[in-house]
Amino acid sequence: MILGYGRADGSKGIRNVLLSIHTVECSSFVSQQIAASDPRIHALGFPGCYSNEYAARLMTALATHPNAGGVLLVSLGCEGTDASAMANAIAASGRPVEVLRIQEAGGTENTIRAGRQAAARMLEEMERAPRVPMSVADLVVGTECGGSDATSGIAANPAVGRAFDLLVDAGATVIIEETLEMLGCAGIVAARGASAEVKRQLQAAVEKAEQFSLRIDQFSIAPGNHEGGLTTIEEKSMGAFAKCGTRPVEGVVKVAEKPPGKGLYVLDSVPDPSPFLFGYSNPNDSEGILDLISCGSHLVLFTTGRGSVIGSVISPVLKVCGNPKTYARMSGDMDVNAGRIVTGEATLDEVGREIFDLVVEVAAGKPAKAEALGHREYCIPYKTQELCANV
Amino acid sequence: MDRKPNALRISAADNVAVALSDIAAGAGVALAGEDGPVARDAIPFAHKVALEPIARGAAIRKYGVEIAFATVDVAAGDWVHQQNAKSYFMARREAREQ
Repeated sequence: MILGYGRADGSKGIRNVLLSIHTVECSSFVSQQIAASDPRIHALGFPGCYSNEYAARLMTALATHPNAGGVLLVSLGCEGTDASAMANAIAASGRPVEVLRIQEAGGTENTIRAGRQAAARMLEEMERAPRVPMSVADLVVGTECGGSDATSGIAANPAVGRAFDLLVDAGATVIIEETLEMLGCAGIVAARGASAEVKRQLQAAVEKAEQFSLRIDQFSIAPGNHEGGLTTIEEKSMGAFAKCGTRPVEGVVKVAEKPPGKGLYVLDSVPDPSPFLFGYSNPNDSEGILDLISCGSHLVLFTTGRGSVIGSVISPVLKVCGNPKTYARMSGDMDVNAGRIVTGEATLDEVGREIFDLVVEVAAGKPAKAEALGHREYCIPYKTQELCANV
Repeated sequence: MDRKPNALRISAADNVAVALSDIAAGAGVALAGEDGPVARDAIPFAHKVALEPIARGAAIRKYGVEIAFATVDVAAGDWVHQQNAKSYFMARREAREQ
């Protein structure tokens, strides 16, 4: 059984972490020094001084994530991001929150001292969070791929797809990102929509990604893909889309938007057209993982072939490796050996079931490999996005 | 069947399988739990082999969806790649550009 942490807003977390959030790069060192005082504190933040609605919304969503039990906001004092507005939203969720302003608190040493004292108080309060039973139906699970190779579309991605089908059938909410990796498949993806409205949303999201990738000249299937056995852009895209399994898509969400129901959702993290033109869709894997977490993912399934070592702040990241040689070299970082599909030792269904079982174990407290190693990667860039709810 | 599979049909609806290792021309294609056709070409690792005849213009299905169409008649056991298959998406784009 999964014993979660009950939050005042009704959500249930599988971890109980305190966040130390810097609201500008100028306060990042002080925030990190506060976090260094206890392993239960995760440090993250946004480097920009000019305020960005997207980044503020993303940080507020992370601060009210089910796995977060309390929040310290570490501000310099003159940056654009409004720490007080964030604190109000966090307090409204029932979580303890304190704002530290370095300019008012008297510099580095005084703020670190005050921050560590506040953190100790909050951690004590967080230890009293009620433990509540959770089932698979309470879980939100995201998926993303990175460091892909020819095995990705054969082993790790379809195996995660099998696990996603099992999760959906058990009543969970699952999220796939990367509309940019659905290029050439707008019709195929749209056909998966559970209703005419969702089909329209999916078509629009993939077409937006196609326009975006045309603009940044990332629209092709490379010679290396052909050598690796991929014949068409549809095949390449479907290799990534295979991570989401076969169940109907219930809706599209944007970054920091929580899926409104159970079942499979597609996360559109591609920047909306904007006069600033800033914001790569996924500048790196950690940004994509954090996007999934901002939508409420309790944990994330990350598939790889060439190998990766990353974890994340807030939520455990489980790495599923489809290349048996990579797995042998990097087994200390890998949670699931999907390479056994390539060597003929296991079927997609068997590995899918293994991933499902591991999701339940990690939700119940077993640390993911990256979590045990102390990985805490994250990335919050400038971006422009309207929420689906506003469109 | 007790030998290890050398190819994987990802979805039951697929008419191609993916080679799990290099398969020599003339060797049998072995799927989990069933025998496939004899390979008519060499099938490199991670490349596709046709499991059944696919007529010119018909869909090539992998992941349970149409990822390409056959540009010539394809026989069971043929290597399926750019020489006999084409992207619907690229074909549509080319048609628009003409």
